[in-house]
Amino acid sequence: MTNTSIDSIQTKVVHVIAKIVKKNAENIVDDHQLIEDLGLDSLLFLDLLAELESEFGFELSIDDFDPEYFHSVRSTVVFVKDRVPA
Amino acid sequence: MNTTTLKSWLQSHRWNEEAGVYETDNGNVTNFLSYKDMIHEAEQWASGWRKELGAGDSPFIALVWMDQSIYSLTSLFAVILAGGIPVPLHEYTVPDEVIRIVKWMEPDLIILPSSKLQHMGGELQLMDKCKRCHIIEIDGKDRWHIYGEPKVHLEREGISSQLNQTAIIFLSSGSTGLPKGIMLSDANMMANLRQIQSAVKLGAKDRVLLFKSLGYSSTFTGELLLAMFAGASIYLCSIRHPLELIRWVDKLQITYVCTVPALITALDKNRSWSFPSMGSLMKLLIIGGKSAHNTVESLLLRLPSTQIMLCYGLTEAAPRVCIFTLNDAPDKAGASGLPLDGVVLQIRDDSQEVEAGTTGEIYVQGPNVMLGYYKDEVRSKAVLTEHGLRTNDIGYVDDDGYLYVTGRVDNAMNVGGHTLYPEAIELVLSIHPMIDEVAVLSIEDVNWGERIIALVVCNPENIGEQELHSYCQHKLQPAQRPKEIVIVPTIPKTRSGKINRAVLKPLYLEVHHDKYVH
Repeated sequence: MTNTSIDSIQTKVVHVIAKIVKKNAENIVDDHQLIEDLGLDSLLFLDLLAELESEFGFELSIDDFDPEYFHSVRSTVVFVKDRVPA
Repeated sequence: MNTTTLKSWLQSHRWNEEAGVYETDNGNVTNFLSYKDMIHEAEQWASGWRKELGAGDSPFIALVWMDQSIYSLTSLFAVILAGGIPVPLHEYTVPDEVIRIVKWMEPDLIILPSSKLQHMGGELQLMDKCKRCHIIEIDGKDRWHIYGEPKVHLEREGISSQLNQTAIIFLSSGSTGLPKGIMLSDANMMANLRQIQSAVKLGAKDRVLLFKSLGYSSTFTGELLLAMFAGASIYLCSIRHPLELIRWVDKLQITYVCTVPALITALDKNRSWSFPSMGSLMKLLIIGGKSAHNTVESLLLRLPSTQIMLCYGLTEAAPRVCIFTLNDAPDKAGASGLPLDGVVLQIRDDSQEVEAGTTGEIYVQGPNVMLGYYKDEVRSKAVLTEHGLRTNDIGYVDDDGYLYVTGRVDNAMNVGGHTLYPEAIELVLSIHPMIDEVAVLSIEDVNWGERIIALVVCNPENIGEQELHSYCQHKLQPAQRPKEIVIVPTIPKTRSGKINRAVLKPLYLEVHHDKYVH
């Protein structure tokens, strides 16, 4: 994967998160925790995953729900990068 | 008529000693307490509270802020065993709403875990806002702390005969900005428990996955009490996504799950899993609204060893009214079931009962119908009629007696199984100093059933939508928060000056048709 496409995924994921939590993408940083800092609740979590599936064209599977994913912006970006073909 | 009370049942039931409540984290068991030990613990707590607070024989009201923990359950049972009336509060209730509820209900006690007390700013802040109340903080086994003046009598003066018969009060969304306090008697609770068990037939070997809020009568009676009644074990967990449901069912060998259409829809949309995933699941009960025909029919094929059960109910009926197993009647995929034992349905138009196949308003009669609404005689009289409980739901009964629910009489919306009223959301938004006028509508949503949209007239006009979303996050429960806030120049009104709800949706769709999810 090129640096450009990695950067592009990063930007897109942040924009998806911003759209779901109704915040300005410019104010979202990698270290933000989805629940504590961005106010992601259980309903929005389902919306976020559906939007990521739709935006990046992958389908979630049972093994995708390890605790290391989806706690921060960074871990969500890493998750998506691992599932998007180069 | 059986006159067992919840309290006497808890005290005298012969518990299956191997069964109890498991706490889990990421599918791993982290704690266990048998029902026998939990009730014993609750008796000890009740005795300690009565001693410190001087509780007598008259009922007192205790708001119990529930989380998914054994100690929240223990505190709720302790209230019942101490002779009190518990009012379970959803885990996700926002602090502002807690204060509104306290001021309206005027409870004698607020019981909450340490994490929630911190959320409220500590005991001093909470006591300052809730001056009449005593506060009990729960921070683990054998550890509770009472704040407030010691040795005061908890008995309420001038208690109404209805409140005297009340075993528990559940809060349900209302249209006034305050919830409805639904007063259920011991007879209501025990009747519905037996009715549900007669249909669901849980056994001592069953394992129940409990992840919905314990503030719902559906979770409390239809899952918690039902499992205890049957001697089945409960696994407490949180679920963020339907694929986690599959993980926990498989890992914990769960046999019974009760969930809402939103989760079922997302579960079926995902094609990455297949049987024998969920192979241990014997019964899947879908509550809180109607699922799409094709979704339940698809699940019937994808989960060949599971009984798919569809049902209808409302908190005012303690809560289950109808139920059926789709596997036994696959041609009834759009139905909500047959009346439970002892329940009689009537479908009525303005003045009379209508024939099978004709649509009208659904009325319910049975031992599970509530006593009334707390502090609201007018509304109680309006729904407790000579024909039974007026549900505000519209539907019909087919020639075989199956109920089909097709709509609402009022403006209620269904978001992921939550019944919500636009008026209540409008009231909270209208308090914002920059909002002049507001109208709330909903459009169909493939995931959540309905999606909430708020149209607002702002002053000044350049207020940011993000600021309004942030306000909603602080003031409204997650399901109540609008998915979209649209700033508009005016709100359409009727000649009498009320919001013209009939034109809100067409107006919204005309401008935002590209966002319409159907």
